[in-house]
Amino acid sequence: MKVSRRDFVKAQAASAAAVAAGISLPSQATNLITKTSDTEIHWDKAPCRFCGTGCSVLVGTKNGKIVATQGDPESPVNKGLNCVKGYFLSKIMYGKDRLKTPMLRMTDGKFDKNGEFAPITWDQAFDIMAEKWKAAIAKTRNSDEMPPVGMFGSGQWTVFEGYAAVKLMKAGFRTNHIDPNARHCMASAVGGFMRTFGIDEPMGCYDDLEKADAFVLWGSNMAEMHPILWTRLSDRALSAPEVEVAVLSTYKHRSFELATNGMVFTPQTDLAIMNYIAHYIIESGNVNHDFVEKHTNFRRGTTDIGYGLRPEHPLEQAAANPGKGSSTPMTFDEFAEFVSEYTLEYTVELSGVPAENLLRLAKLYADPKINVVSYWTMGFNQHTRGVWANNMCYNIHLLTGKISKPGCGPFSLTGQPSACGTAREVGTFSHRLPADLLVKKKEHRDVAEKIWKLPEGAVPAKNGYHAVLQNRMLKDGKLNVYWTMCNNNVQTAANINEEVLPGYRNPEAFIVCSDPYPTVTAQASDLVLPTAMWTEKEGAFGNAERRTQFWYQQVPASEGSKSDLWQMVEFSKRFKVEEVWSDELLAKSPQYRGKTLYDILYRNGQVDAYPKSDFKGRMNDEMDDFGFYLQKGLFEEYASFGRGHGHDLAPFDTYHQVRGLRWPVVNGKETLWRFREGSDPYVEKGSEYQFYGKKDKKAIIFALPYEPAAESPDEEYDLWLCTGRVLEHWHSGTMTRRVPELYRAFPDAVVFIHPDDAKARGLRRGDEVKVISRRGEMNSRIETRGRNRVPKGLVFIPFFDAKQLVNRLTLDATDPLSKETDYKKCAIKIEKV
Amino acid sequence: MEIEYNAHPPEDDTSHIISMLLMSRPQHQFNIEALIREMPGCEIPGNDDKGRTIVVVEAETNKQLVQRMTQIQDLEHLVSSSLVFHQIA
Repeated sequence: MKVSRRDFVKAQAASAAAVAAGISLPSQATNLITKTSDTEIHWDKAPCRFCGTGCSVLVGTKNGKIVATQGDPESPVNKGLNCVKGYFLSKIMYGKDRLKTPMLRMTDGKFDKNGEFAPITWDQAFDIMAEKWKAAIAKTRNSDEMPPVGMFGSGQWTVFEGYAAVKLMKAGFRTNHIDPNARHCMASAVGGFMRTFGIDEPMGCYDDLEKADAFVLWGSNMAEMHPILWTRLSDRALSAPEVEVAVLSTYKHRSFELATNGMVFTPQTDLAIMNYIAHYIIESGNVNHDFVEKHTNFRRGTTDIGYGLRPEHPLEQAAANPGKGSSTPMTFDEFAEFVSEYTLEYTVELSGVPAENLLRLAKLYADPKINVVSYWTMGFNQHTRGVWANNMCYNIHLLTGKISKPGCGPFSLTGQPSACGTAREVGTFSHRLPADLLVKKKEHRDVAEKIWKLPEGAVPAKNGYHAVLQNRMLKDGKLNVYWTMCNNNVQTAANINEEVLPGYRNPEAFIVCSDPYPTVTAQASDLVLPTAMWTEKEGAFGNAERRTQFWYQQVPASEGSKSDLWQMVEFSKRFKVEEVWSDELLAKSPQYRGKTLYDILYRNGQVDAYPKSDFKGRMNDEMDDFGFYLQKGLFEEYASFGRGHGHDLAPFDTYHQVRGLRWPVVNGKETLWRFREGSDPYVEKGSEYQFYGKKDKKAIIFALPYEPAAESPDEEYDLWLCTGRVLEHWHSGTMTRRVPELYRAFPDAVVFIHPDDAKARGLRRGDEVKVISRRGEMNSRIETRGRNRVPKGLVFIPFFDAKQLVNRLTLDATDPLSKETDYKKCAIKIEKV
Repeated sequence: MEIEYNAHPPEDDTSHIISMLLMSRPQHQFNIEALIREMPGCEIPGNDDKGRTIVVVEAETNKQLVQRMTQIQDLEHLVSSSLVFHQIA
């Protein structure tokens, strides 16, 4: 039989989709795929560069360039599928405006904060950086204060990069002013986990998607933000039509298309809805008393905790207990009384959700026969009561014992590929060390100092500046040198007009930005370093289900670019320890005199313990430069923090062979559901459940109230503003907007508005408008149709567009406990241009 | 140091073949499939009765490919769309 090449390719395309879907096709088509012989392309695995789902893709390279990517059929996460962004991954590295050389603001050949960007060499770049760093460190070197040296990192850093950064900052420069952009993303989830369970990250995993009887999406628009997980969820719902899909949001979006119970609620009232559900579970007699008595404690949380603004802000002045996360013990009966205030009638009135929908939702959780999973992302996390929202969701699952079981449990999704693996597990937060350890605890610092072979007292004991505070401190002149890597914070931080830009442009501040491309942040910085990305370096990410995945460098780094890892380790060579550490600390460790930070941190006999012969990949630029297998050494030293302590990682080499493993990995076996006997090796026999993050191995059910948002619409600023993402673009669009197909598919941000709200302002679809808040304004065009259908009184604007900086409008109000900004609620008005 | 999103238009002289896995509630599946069959360059080589549909899309240019994918992804009542295969012919 003669088949044309075109027919052959079409049959191959059909067959690949059929295999992924489990649909059978005529045999002719399925047989053809085996004849593929496009072998000039070298294929190797890598996790996707975008969201926290952690899909594996096969990366095809030819002549030193990526020419194709496809969903990895062997991946248990995405099973051969790709979303539209993942599908165009092969193009993210080849934008025409890739940076090729370091660029410094200069006038007449010298650094000038108000000069124009001009190219310099890497050597010159590190010269000026070292000069600025040393001047900043000298200010505090022999005092108890941390130096005014800061770093803003990323949940997109590889695990190795995050770990190298923590060491460089906390042990090298002895400052805890390092925080990841994950602060904007899932700090509230971290806070929630630590408060309720005493240990971070979800207990369940993606296997729940095929096992649940009901799914509840709290704010999450999985259809656009986690499309592959959504495909798995949809597959389950279509296979078993009795499966219930409840979708809650402040506006209608794509995920409502599958919903059996779609609910649009008034912003901030999710808190009340969860307390209503807790009340319903108790009132209807569906509390799992056996579970609750054995495995939980009840506590009353401190209320009226403010909004994480500057202390002089009127809202902070008015709060009774700003920033307080304390709580006191209470009984089950007292908790029942506390939530009894949240009656169906009261909750309907507050939330605007019809009674029948709320009742139907509450019954899902209450019915002991229904296995239910709750999913959420930024709706709960970017919330001035984000930690509370997380706690309150756990309340519902704990009251019913619907947790840590197949198809049953609360599951916090993440937005970045290694928010879990790098930001959380490595501990790149201003208050953390690896494996959930805290800088404030002496015994935790002791652990770090011992592993790092450092004298006692090397790691500072105070929390550093968190992300939002870093901007405020830059503006106030208390942070003087600042390195931002692998993020675009001038576009993505809230209130850029009042806090971020004044901080970056403060004459007292020297800002370094490492990025593959020019970004809004690069343009606001003083020195820009061109950075190798994704498969231009060896890496490791950890996804939302605790799965650690590795990849090899697969193509040479783009011209002039160096990885973040190389940049940090190379920079450490510029510092003699005498220039950085206090005399007192040096006196405790005379053996380090005369050495550089590079010697102490990365040539410590551990990080440099693995020779080049251990390397099994095709290329590794860092290994070639430093002369040892740097990634392996960093990983093995890092892994020693968590092994035997509930955070066990497998040996380094294993991860290059498998499609990821979910920690804790004990005796070579990954853990699917934590805290339950039989599935978690840390749970003792006969105990059924152990929430071993807490000393008494019991989780906490918190009594917490509904409290209003920091800013709500009023007569003048009469609309809610909610910001977020769209399917085609990832975060600030620095990668996806350089993919021509994705750029074309959604070129400019728009204001999604209700047709009646548009009409009332004399506006028609496509009209240009000015969107104004108390902090700034931006021009855009309105959209009354399309995939997002907002209710009256609310607009949605995506934040990917560098020409329309929506964060000129947003308020830097944060959850006072997690310090994460609420990007979902502030007040604006709209005028015709 | 300018941001240049538009400085690199795709090479439009290449043709493409892709496959997509679509999902919809069964009550909308027939309509969605009927609309796709009317779109130029689109075929449905397989489906099931639970809401899953396989689509193969051919396009002569990159621009056409994006248009067709966007058109499919924006179909009303479509629940999910994933991409499986892509070959630049």
